[in-house]
Amino acid sequence: MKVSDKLKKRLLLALLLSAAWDCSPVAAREQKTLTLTTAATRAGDTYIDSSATTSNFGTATNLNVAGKNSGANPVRALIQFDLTSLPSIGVKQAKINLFVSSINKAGFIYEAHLLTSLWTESGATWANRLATTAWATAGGVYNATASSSLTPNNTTDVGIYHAWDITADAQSWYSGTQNFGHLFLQNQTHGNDATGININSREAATNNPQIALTFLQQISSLNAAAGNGSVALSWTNPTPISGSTVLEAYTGVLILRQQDKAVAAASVPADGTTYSQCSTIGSNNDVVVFVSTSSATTFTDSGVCGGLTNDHLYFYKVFALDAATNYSTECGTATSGTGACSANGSAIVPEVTAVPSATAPYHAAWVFNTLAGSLSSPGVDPGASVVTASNALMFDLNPQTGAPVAPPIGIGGAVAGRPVLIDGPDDSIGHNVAYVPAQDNFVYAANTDTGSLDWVVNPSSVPFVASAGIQAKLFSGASYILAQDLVVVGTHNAGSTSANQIFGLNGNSGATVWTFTGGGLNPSLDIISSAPSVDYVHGAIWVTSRSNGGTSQPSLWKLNPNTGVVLFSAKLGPIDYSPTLSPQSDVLFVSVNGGALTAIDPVTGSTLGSINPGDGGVKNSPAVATASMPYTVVLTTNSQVWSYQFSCLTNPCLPGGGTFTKFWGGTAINNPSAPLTYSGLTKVYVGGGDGKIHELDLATGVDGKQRLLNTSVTVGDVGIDTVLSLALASASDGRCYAFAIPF
Amino acid sequence: MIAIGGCAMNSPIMIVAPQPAPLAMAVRLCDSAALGCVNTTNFSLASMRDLTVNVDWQNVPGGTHTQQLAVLLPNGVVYQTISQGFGVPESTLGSPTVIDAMPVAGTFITQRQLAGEWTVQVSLDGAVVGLQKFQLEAN
Repeated sequence: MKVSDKLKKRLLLALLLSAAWDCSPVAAREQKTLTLTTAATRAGDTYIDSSATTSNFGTATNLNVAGKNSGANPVRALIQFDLTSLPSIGVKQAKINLFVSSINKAGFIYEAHLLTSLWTESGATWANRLATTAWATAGGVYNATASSSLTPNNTTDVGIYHAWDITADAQSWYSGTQNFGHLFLQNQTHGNDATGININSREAATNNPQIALTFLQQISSLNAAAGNGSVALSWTNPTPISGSTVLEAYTGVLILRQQDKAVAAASVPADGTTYSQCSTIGSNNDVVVFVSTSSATTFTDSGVCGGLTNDHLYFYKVFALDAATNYSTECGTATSGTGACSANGSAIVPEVTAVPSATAPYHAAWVFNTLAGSLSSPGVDPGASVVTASNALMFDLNPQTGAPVAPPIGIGGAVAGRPVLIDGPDDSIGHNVAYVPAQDNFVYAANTDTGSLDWVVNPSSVPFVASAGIQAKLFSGASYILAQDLVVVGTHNAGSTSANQIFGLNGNSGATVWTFTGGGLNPSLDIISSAPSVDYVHGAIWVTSRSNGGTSQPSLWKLNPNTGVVLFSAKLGPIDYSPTLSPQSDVLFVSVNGGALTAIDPVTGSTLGSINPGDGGVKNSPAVATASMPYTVVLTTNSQVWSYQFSCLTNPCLPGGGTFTKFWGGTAINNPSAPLTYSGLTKVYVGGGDGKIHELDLATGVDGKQRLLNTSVTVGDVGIDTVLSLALASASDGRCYAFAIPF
Repeated sequence: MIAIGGCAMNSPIMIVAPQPAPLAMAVRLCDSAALGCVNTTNFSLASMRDLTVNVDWQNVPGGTHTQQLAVLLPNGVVYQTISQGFGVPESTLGSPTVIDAMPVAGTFITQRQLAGEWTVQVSLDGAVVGLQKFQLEAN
């Protein structure tokens, strides 16, 4: 069989471009090799030695991998690469290339395994994954099935790079799995090998570890504009990343559409297949409405392939396409078996929604799939950053486009609350940071500029469910004597109704500044489910908790931020919601689970007044819409939204001297979220159990306009980017949505 | 393990090897607030604290393993995943019980009454092994 000249050139090119020889086909647009250097912040390499179980080798220039004494004393290498420069790609192939400087014996198998626990280069030992935290199993926690393996020859394979194929693992890092890197071990079935192989580490002078990725970038800046019976889409096609090798040219896009529900994450156009307009893909029958091979950047759907029906929701997902008919999915060419697309094969492909209408068309500003429906609200740094946590991943998004600015940040446990963001000029750590407590008993501080972790600490042996409260030193008065910002977190020890804890952590280092433990000589402390509130005026931290089912123990706590000493506590009944301070800090509004909204004097702790509108009692934190007394307070119950005016006969307000006067209510909304409004805003935003964000008129309570996120989903608490005028919310379909406000 | 050597033959000899015991597991669910772990698949959001998931494994090969639980919402979307490593002595088949817990009380599950039929999907080393459905009942 004669090989064509064209194919010969192609094969030669592929050989020259590959860091290590490989016979498998490569057909995709870009290839980039990233070298692991000491400059990479979201990465690391080390080795761990069963003969030196507490020794860390994070600064070693060689990584040893061996099964000494017939496997009785193994040595393993850990390597994690920084993929920050490739935030949004469909991976087609990924290989770890390691420079092997010595090989003791031939015939031994060296395997790469996906690590499944977070570790650090400076903390990892045979015994520990972090400085003071042990692996669940000594020697590393990883998938037992090797991702790939090699059997190098000890004479001919020394002093060259060797490649381990980790394609499926790299694809999973972009579709829902944390990236904790790989563990390399010697398969221990071949007898004794005293020294195994040595690999150049990132600290070596030359020939550092590399990862070679072949991929398609996603399209960006996807916009929809809904009209009467039409939806106009626009986007920006990818341009090659600096330093990448172009294998195939981007030629256009393929667009899938679905009505009244999302395009399925498992709906993936198969590489190598050309689709015709109006064909369908996947069991969800997602419709191919547009295929372009001429680098189009717009498409107006005026009703192709069965037409658009006004006032219905349409999802559009836009895949980048190259000259070899590869699509920007997280899968290879096979439709089943090895290389088949995972269930999330198209999960991070950009998508957007629109509702065409003759009278009131609208569209989402952006949509981002967080891959889990945890309903954790996005944290917003207005105009600068959106960070949303979902399950065990944290996503750093461009607030204008919703595009990820870094690959997902792996967290060791699930995150249930809103990440708390502080920007560099305002915090003590000196750069933009997000603080995230997690259910693996750890608290994380992530640099949202780089996606790297500033610190990870383990103050507790039980989970954190609630978001953190942050006291910024910059905004604190003279009574705040700590040198750095304070991060306050409370535990969810479901096994105890009395001995939960509250920790004050150093915002720069994570070190524990103080601890309050319930029980013993202290009042009993049940689980904490909501973020503490910082009272800058009175120099206090307010925390709410459950109370063992009744009013026999406290559920509202006032703590000294410098010491953690309890200044005051109140037995109001179980509370799962954060307290809301009035803008003047003269009233603290607290929602008791299924009970009354209670106004508390933040100085004395006395109850000023309370209101229970019925409908099963209050739920969620209230919102305060006016800057000073009398306060307009918006609250929600099981299926309604209410507004009350809170006022006092005297100044200061005396115990029992506060009065709630109903403004309006209850406006019917199925299973409402916490209301969002604030001084200067004339609207109230509420997420519903009906899949919508509702925009209520603050003056009348009229539910005037809504935005449908998705059908049959529950919408979480709403956040607002005041700079970009966007309302943001997560939904139980796992997506984060942004809509322009006012609706 | 079977070692095969020698030359190819026209009439192959059938080698009957003992079949490895099949990997198996069973899931027990309970409310952490209940005394002991009373296995059930119906829970009340009004009283539940944590969902405790006990996975009883059988015939797990020796070595290091990672169990992953994916807890799916009634709409089939992942709500949360929980990974845990465990070890089985080399050259043995292990029958460990791996216990994980998912907070329920005070989370969005109770705050937003995410009731309905949920699913726990159990994977070992990246491969799905089985699942268990359970019911969360609204207040």
